[in-house]
Amino acid sequence: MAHDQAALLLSRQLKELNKSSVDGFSAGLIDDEDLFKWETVIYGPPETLYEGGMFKAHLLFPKEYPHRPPKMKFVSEMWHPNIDQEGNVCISILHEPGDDKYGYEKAAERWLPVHTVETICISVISMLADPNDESPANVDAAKMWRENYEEFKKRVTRTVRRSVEEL
Amino acid sequence: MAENINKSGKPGVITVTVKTPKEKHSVEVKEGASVRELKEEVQKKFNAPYEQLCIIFAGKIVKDEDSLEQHGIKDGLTVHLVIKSANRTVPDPPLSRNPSTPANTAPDVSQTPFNLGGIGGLGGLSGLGMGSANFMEMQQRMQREMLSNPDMLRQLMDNPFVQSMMSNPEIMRTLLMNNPQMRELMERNPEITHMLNNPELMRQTMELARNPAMMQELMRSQDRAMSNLESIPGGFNALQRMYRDIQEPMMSAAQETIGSNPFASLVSNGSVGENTQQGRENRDPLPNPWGGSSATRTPGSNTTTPAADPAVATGLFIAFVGMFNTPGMQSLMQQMMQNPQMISNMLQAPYMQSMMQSLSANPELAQQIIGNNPLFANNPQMQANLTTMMPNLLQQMQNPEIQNMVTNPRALEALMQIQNGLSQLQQESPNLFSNVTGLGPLPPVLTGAPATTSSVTSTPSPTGTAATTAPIPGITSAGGPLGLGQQSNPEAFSSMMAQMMQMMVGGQQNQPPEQRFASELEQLATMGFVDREANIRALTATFGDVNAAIDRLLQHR
Repeated sequence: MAHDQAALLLSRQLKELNKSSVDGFSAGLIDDEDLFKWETVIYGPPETLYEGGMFKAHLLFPKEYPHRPPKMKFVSEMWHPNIDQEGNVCISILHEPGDDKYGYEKAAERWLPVHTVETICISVISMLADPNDESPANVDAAKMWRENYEEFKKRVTRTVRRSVEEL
Repeated sequence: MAENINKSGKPGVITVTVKTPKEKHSVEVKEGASVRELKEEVQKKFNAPYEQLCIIFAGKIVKDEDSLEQHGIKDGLTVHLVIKSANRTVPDPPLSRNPSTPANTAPDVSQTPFNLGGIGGLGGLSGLGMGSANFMEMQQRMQREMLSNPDMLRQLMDNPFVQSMMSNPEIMRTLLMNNPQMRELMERNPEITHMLNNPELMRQTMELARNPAMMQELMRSQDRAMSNLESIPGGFNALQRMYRDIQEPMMSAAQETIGSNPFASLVSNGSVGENTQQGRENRDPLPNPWGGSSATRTPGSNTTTPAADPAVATGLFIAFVGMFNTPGMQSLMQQMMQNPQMISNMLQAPYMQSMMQSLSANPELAQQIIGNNPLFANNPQMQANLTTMMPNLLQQMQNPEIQNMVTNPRALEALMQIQNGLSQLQQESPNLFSNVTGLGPLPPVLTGAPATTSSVTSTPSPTGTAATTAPIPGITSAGGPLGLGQQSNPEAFSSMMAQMMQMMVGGQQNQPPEQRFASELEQLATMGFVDREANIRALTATFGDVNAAIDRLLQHR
């Protein structure tokens, strides 16, 4: 059963992550009974605008995992070109597999069953450090990033501060 | 899982690895302990106040009253620790400096104009080096060096050129206002504007910067402030950003000041030996090399806002060009044109000093050089202007402080060639050097600092009339600060400036950059640089060097 496979994979990942935590984020279940709902705290990568931030995000896995990607959504307020106003993360590896109908991404850049909570979180961390300007999820943030970097920095600094205050 | 046979080997005790981004410690707590107890242990190990600790496990922030078991924190597992910075309730220190805190304002705010001033001075130098990519690099190196060497900073401050520029708050302000990025910054940070609008404060700062003892004190307190800033999460970043915000725009502005390669056009004009504009007053509107900012800045031209250092710098290197543009040196120049690095090397070489000294000690030589220059041969007035101006400019240029900043052994070679050229010149006209008498002490350009502001406003006629008769806003105001040193005939001077500008700009600017750099633009676009505007800017600044433009584009990301 697909469901069992997903649960097995996820529980294994959970155990691994608890045992040897990876730098840059912490991940666990929102509710110990539900392996498909994860919560993570992503640390703002050092030497970026997001440095010092502690951003909470949820990872929601479909039953078809690992054949379909989870959704990632920041619970903390975020300001980033690739995170929409609701906090949904928009990176290619979380996009449904297959070729993009808009021709933006190749299949290889999209969801692959090899991705785990760890690889996703690491991708998100690298996205924080290096926004992808080409397919912005938050157009305002992307515009600000491109045209008014000062303002962008201020805005991000504010979210970093809030994210820590919220803890 | 057998909890009583645990890692630490002691029954009833569990060992948890506690990790921050920087450190990692093992912490022992008793089995079934609460988070509070764990934190108390952590407090000791990490030497941080309890209130600032925040334990994260499995994506959750664990609360004090919970037990470790509740969260599944077991022996051998790792938890993340976040040490929050103290006084988080205080508004973000790096970005929202509070202008109404008097105690902080003094060192804090004053530090900024001082830095800007230093950079402003360098901006002038950048004009000399024509902002090639190599020069950029050199300048960055220079700045780094300067920052790490307060002594040098002070030397720079003692440089009359820099001093005079800085003692004139008007000039400083215009200099800053000229830069669109700076302007933007100021619009968003009223404190900076306020600071710039306060001549008293600016002057104080200059004094501070000049006085070694005070400077040291300032540095010390700034050190403290800096380290305070750095200890805040993201604080170091903020500092870096501040550096980027302020320095980089300043540098790129200085670089863009001279939008095209003036040397190139001068050489080509010079070797052709004719210029349709020569000997005539130029009344055509020019492409404004200062990005049109002066036009918006002076809606009424009689306000006579003196122009900023780019103009001074331009003037400086124009004189410089005049010196090098003699027929005997044409080929040398041409050779150098093919190698921009050589020029920047040349400009930063220590040998420059001796050469300039000899030049300024021999005003006649300078005159002769100008006389020989085909560029000026048919224009006695311009010649005379340049001649009177030259020694002063040379004096500025030969200032050891300016030259100390740059020492590049590679430049020696280039310099040797120039010296050869000079000795050749000497051989060809041996009488040149014997006529050293006369001319007397040279009036220092621009060093009549306190008087400068008043003199500008009290003599609105020269610059003012020029501005109204000739619709060349950039040029007219550019004539301003140099005109200060040249009050004898400022009008002629500004028209000369206009001609110079026309020559410099005319060669290359006839075509819009989109056309000039069409193939380069295409190249950049295929590489994925989609912002055409930015591409054009980068190409303009790098004179069409695609590689340098890419560097630039990436840097500005």
